Parts: sequence; C-alpha cells; structure tokens
Amino acid sequence: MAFSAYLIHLGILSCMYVMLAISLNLALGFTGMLNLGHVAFFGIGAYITAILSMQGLPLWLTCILAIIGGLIAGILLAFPTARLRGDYLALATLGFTFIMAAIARNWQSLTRGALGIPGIPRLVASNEQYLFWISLSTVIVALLVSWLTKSSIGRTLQAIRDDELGAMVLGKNVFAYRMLALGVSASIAALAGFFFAHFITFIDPSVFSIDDLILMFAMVILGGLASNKGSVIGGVIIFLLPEPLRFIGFSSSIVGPARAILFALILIGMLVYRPRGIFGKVDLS
Amino acid sequence: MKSILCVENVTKKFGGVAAVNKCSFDVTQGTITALIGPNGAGKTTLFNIISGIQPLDEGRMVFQSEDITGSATHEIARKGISRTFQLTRLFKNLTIKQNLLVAKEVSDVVLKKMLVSFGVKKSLSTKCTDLSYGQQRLVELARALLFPHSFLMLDEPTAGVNPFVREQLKKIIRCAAKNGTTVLLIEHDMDFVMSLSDHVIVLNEGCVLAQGTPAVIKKNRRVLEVYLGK
Repeated sequence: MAFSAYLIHLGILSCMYVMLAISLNLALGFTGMLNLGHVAFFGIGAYITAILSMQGLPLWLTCILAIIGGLIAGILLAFPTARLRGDYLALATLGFTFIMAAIARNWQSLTRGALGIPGIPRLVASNEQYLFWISLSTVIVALLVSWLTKSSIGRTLQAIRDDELGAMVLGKNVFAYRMLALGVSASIAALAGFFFAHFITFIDPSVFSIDDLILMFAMVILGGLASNKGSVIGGVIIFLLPEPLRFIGFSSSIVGPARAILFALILIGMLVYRPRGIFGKVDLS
Repeated sequence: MKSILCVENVTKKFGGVAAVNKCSFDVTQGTITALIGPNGAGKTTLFNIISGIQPLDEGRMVFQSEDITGSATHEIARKGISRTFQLTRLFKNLTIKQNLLVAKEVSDVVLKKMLVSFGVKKSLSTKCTDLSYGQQRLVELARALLFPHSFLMLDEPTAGVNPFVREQLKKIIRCAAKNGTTVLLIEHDMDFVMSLSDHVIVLNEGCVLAQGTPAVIKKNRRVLEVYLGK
C-alpha cells in the first residue's frame, strides 16, 4: 500500500472512531450513563447496512435505516435500564452487547453467523472520495452534538448526570432525557457502523468486540468526559498511537498484544494521574 | 382563607415502622408554615412524599384542588411545587449560571440582579463547588425561586449557615411570601421559626401533635414536653 493510501486509510478509520467517541461521550460524559452497550449500536448499524445493501437497497436509504435502527435500539435499551445506575447499568448494557453478538452469531439465515457477510458494496469508488464523505459526516455529527450539549437540553443532561433528584424537582423528566441521550448516541454509533460496513466490505460478529468498546472508552477518558473537543482529540490520538509499532519491525504476533498493552497503560495512567483527561470537565466519580 | 395544599391521612411505613402515621393538615395560601418536631418525627419523609420522591402507603394529597397522590416528582414540580433539600443539591460540575438556567431560561441581567439581591458576590461563571456552604444554600434557594412555582418547600434552610446568611434567608423567604409564594419549611432553629412563620405544625412520631400560631405553639404543654422543653 502506498504511503498516501495508508494515510487515507488511517484518516477514514480515525473519523469513524471520532464519531464513536463523540457519541459515547454524549451518554457517558454528558449524561453520566455508564453504557457498555455502545459497541452493540455500532454493530447494529453495520449489520443493518450489510443486510440491506446486499438486498440492493440504495445507499442513502440504508444509511437512514441504519441510523433509525440505532435510534430504536437505543430507545429500546433505555426502557429496561430506566431504573439502573452506575455498575448495574454497566452490567445490563454489557449484557445487551452480548445478546446482540449472540444474535449475530446464531441467526444464520439473516446474518450468516460466524461466516459473516462478505461483498458489501462500497459507498464510493475511491478511498479519497470515501474520506471526503466520512470527514463531512464527522464534522456534521460533531457540530450537531456540540449544539445539543450547549443547548438547554445539554444543560439538563449535565444536571441529570450531577444530581437526578435535583433535576426532577425542577420538573425535568429524567427518563425522557436519558432516553433521548441514549437514542442520539446510539444512532451516531450506528452511522459509524454504516461507514465501517461499506469501507471494510465484510462484517462478522466480531463487530461487537469488547476490544473495540475498551478502545472507545480509552478515547473518551483520554480526551476528557463531557468535552466534544476531547472526544475528537482522544479519538485521533488513541487510534493513531499504536501505528508506529508497525514500522518498528516487530512481527504481527507482537504488534497486536503490544497495542492492547499500550491502551491499558494509557487508561491506567490517565485514571491515576489525570482522571479528567486532556479537556475533561468532570471527574469519573 | 383558601387552602393550597391538603394532606389527608398520609401514612408511610418503612418495614413495620410508620415514619408518617395518618398525618393530616392544610397549608393556607400565601402563608409561611413551619413544620417542626424532634429528629425522626417524619418531617423530611413528609416533604419527600409531597414532592413525589417517596410513594405514600395510605392517604391522599390535594394541591390547588388537584389530586397529586401518586404523581411523579417532575409532574408535581411542574404543578408549581418547588423545593430545596436538607443537604444542598446543586449540580456540582455546573456553574452558578448553568444551575439557575436549569430552573428557568432568563437573561444574565436577571440572574446577576437576583444574585446581588441574595448577597452572593460571585460571578455567574463560578463553579458551584467553589462556593462556601452558605453561598451554596443561597444559590439553591435562588434556583428554587427561579423555577416557576406557587408553593416553596424548604428543608432546614438555616442548617450549617452563619448568622449573616441566616438573616439573608429570612429576608428572602419573607420577600417570596410577600410576592405570593406559599412557604412550607422544616426548621430546628426556633427563633427563626417563631419570628418568620404565620402557622406552625408540630409533628411527633409521624403524627400531628399540635398546630397553630407561633404564640399558641410556644405555650402548648404537649409541645413543650415533647420538643421545645420548659
């Protein structure tokens, strides 16, 4: 792969992870929901895209349906988890991820199970064009979330994060706001899944991988909770940081675990020495 | 005199213990009513029941001729019941301005004017965690008053504050009442209660022990025995 093609490849995947970090931060940093189901929304978007594209639906329609699918999944997850907070919410949403992965593995007539879905049509012919479209989408998502978090809705979400009861006695319907945050967050993650499916052109149940979930959390924690700027910076840094390992000359059997060790060290280091991350406005506690 | 809140035979049990037991009283519109009693009398539980935070086991509550029994906390708040808590519940990662705007969207000019009148000499961009406890109390009260309301519930407003803030609180509460807000407050500071209230309700073991004007309550033999002392 030529170096410019390699950079374009990195640019495309960086944009995808930035979208995932921004959307996770909306639920985690701004609303205080410890949501471990985020990777499931990404997977749902990718699977909806793959299945519908293979049926010959136009790309714009699969994009809209993937976003709607993510939104519905987010809203549906909000109902059974309405009364759960903190660790309990984390466990329940992690369970949701496992359920989605199990469905992808076992509903073979729809998902082809572990074989995955190959041959997903590409969104555009060249990677340069792809980079343009995903960059544009990432900018739109970032501006949209930035507007939302600075609006009165965003202020209420942050109030709910800090003190639910305090928000309730000011007439705020906490359940509705949490559902909104989870729905918007999930629909953006599903959009990232749409781009992923069309870029890689193959998906299998590994899109629900916990490794990717840890990566998303590392991005948000490094950039800082409740900071959209932090999500962008954290997303890019965490995604690009292990890339130099490829050029050191280690074998791929070492590069893989080395990436995981690097992420773990960054997470531990940030949590111990700078729990607010680079631009964070709130503590993890 | 018209009743704004009617509490009828309200009972709340925790396990076998009745924290509030067939409690009934009315709060008259436009008055300052104090709810007093020894620790464990059920005052805060009653506040939580009225604001929908805790469900009641028996009885009913009527606010402005509307049954609010079983309504959700945010629905009760939207009917015009605003409140503060025994320990301040400000949104700790937000600034003073953001805290106040969650209650109601108003201009910076209005917010600044309000803070000055409350004696809080801090900029709107100050984070709430950077305020002293007394200032936090005042900002929480400002937030409760900014929220559209006709009924204000204050849970121990003077707890942990210095005499200056205490006097500020008294002025603000009087001013709110003068402007048409009905106030129901829990307080242990008897000087504060007796100098501010129009009506006093004494709770003991979840029941209403006595009620009346401050002058009447001060002389009530049962209240003296159970709470005020001789």
